[in-house]
Amino acid sequence: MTAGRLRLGRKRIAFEEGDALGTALYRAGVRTFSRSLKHHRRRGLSCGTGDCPNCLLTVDGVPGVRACVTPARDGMRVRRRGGWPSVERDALSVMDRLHALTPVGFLYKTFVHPRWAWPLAERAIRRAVGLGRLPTDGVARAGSRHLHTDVLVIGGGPSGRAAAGAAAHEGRRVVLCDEGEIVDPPPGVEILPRHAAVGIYEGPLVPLASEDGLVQAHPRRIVVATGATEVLPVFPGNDLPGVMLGRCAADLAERGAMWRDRVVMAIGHEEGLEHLNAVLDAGVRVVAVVAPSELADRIHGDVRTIRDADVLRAEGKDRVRFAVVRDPDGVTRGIGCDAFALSLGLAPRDDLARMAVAGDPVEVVGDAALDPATFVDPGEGYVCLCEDVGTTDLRRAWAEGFRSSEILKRYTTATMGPCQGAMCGRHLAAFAAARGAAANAAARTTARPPARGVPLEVLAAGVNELIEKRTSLHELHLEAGARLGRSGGWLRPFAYGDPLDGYHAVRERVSVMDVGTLGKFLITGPDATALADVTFPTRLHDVAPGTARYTIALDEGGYVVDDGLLCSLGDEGWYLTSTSGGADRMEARLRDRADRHGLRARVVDLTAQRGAIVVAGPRARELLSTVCDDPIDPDAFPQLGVRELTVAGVECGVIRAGFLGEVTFELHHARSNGPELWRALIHAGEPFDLAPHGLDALEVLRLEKGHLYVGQDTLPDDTPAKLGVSWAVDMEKERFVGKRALERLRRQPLERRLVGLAFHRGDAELRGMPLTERGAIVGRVTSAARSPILDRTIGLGWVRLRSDGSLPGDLRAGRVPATVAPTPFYDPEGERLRA
Amino acid sequence: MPELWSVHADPDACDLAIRAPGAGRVAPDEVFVLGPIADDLRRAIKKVDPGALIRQADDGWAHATVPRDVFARLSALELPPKGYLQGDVVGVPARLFVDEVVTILVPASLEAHLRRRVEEGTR
Repeated sequence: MTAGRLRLGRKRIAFEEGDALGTALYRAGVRTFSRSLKHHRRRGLSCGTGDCPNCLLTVDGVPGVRACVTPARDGMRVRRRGGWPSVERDALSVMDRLHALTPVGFLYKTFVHPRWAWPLAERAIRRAVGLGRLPTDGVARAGSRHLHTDVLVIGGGPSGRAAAGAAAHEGRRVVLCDEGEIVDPPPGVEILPRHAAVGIYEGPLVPLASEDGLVQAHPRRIVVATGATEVLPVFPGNDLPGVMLGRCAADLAERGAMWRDRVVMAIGHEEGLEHLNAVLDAGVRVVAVVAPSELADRIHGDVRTIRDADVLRAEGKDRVRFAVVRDPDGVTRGIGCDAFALSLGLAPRDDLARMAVAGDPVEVVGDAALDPATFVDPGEGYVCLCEDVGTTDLRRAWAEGFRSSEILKRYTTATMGPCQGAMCGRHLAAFAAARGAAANAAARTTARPPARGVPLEVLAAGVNELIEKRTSLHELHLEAGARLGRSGGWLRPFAYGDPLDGYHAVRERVSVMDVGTLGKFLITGPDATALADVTFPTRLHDVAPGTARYTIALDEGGYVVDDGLLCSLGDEGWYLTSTSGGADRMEARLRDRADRHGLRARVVDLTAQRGAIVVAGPRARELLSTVCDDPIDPDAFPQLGVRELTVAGVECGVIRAGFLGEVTFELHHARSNGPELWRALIHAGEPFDLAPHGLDALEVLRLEKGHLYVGQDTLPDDTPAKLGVSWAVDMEKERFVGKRALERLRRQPLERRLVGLAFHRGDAELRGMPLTERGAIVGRVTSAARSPILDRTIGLGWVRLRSDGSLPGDLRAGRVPATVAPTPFYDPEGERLRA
Repeated sequence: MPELWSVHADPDACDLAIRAPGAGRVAPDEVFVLGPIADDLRRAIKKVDPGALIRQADDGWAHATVPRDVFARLSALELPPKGYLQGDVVGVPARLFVDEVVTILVPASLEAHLRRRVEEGTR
């Protein structure tokens, strides 16, 4: 009964209710499902269980769909992979006659010279191979969810269902998953049909891939009940269309898809007998059965049985035509057939179990725990169907010295295809063992995820994109047309229109900037000062309440890791600011130090709770006077002063500090008051021709003052001396983080220094360039910008000192001459800052 | 936005603070409270640690309340039937109050990120 129709190319194919895609195609006479990777040999249905690569098709534009286990659906559009111009008439099948020209490892040895040849060869190879083309129309995004359970049972067969039922009976929360359907699940068990386990990771974590996305399962116990695969023996022609495993044949027969086939079956174990019976019961014409005597005696019906014969080869051009066997008398017989079904033994499907490490709560049950069928030295034929690796290739690799299963794998790529060694891994190990390799060199290759093919969007599910922090002023920046970008983990304005507008506003009038991204901390408690003192190298005993001091932060190695301002709040402790990108580490650093020294100090991270706005420029004080009644004249509020002020009705902690080189106030306020305060300042600034500035202007302004950015201008092993900030370190203090290292480093000559640089031309693009002296690299430009007020390009960079401690001369950044210049470049006496 | 308080105090005082309804222990010396802290409890905390800092923290946090099944799309954390926990949610550090539903609190600077990911998880 036709249940629907699908399309294979232009051909419409009817399918029946319950058909897999592969079954429907087979019933319609399709025998070639794909072309092999390298040799472009025809490949047809083989395993019928989703283990081998032969039936990977492109369905509705999605490549890599396993036809044998994918239900047929009305309207499906199916394409076969490989083959040019088509799979049926493949001009590239000439590769099958050119094995001698493309032996194993040839890619490693050819196209090396000339170098220009490789890109051309790569393009040609890419066109000739592959599993299909990825869809490029739109980006698919798969969802992801986490699942916690007591027991995860992987595999919905009889063993898996029994294990799940038993665990549920014990009162455990049990999840049973299977890559196919789950029939007759036990009660009390959550089932996840069509969910394939991808691997077992530390945790344990078991990702389950499905059409709906990814489930990340976190079970306390894992039961692997993935069953076993049938062994595909290695013999000439073992990859011909029509040569298939017993399960595949039984399934096709039961679904009436082999109605016109003459079948030869070779059976070697109990399950093989079941498959034979299934095929016979379906009315399929079985022309011969090859079986050992103990099974042959149990074959019913009028079937020609050849006892104890060896399978020699399969013959045919476009598909199998003859199964050739040799009986115990040495007589070789070729039996005409359309399908050659093999059911000779089982090998546990144990990839997942082998991914677990010692101590993981993993139990293997059912056929997955079977002792595998005996694998012997493979004869002639294909060992790895995925990668087109034959026994000839293995022998050649062995002769070249690749003498263990692991390096055979790497050299030949056997086991590295879509089946991940499920069909060929044991053959590889047997090949090495038969040649006398030691046990460890003849072991199975390491099992790694993914155990099953996973769509890329499922593989990416749950992976977070960039996480951007925003200040409370974000919407206002957007309204003002700001150009936003990432900096220190935050989304920040780089400029509002022309960056020079903001720059000139700072230097000539007044400007505002959102610095709510700064790290902000309250250090309080009886030992607050002791904590600040031991954490930072700065002298603190003379920092009066209501004043601030610049500080750097060092690690135990004496290297500079952050900087900021420490503001004394008197008995209430300290208010600390840090760089925007360093806030998280600063809190950890302080808490760690408090714990280590047993200090009763509280560290409160206010970064997210407090906003901050800089008001800077020669008319900053005038602007603030219009919205603040508190005194802010230079005597009442000197440089590095800290005050509590009400600005435009908003309570602010105000620090008179900044590194822009002009009178600067940092207004720290409750985050929720940020928009109100910003609007008030913008409004009040109109008579002063206020223009906000962003990071672009800030870069120029701070470089004019020669101030460094920790991170941008520093290297991980920069000490205060290298950065020229030794003045911020009080070596007389009894202790601080990094002091011992600095004492040791002080006795060593300085190898490099951060210096100011003046360039003869150029702009910000000089940043990152190596600094050379007569062709030798002696440093690097860490920051550079064109200064409008100085009308020259300035920057910072590190330079290696000469052996006598002097600075190198005759520097060049690329072709641009540069000279070491004293900093600050602008207002070196700091008169404007302290005005 | 619910009322949020944080108590920074000696561990002994935090042992008292944790008795507040909707309280969670962030660290030995820090308790986070979803909801008000009664006056008598404040006095008791201050009595044990006069330097205890009891601060309203509403400004620093963004929140979202989601059903448990939606939460499973946002975090690998295993939820208890009820209570407080903290950890990685939508890739950022979060504080959680769990009941029939889950109240997620993240730093206010990550509000847009939380909103977007919750919206995606709800689809």
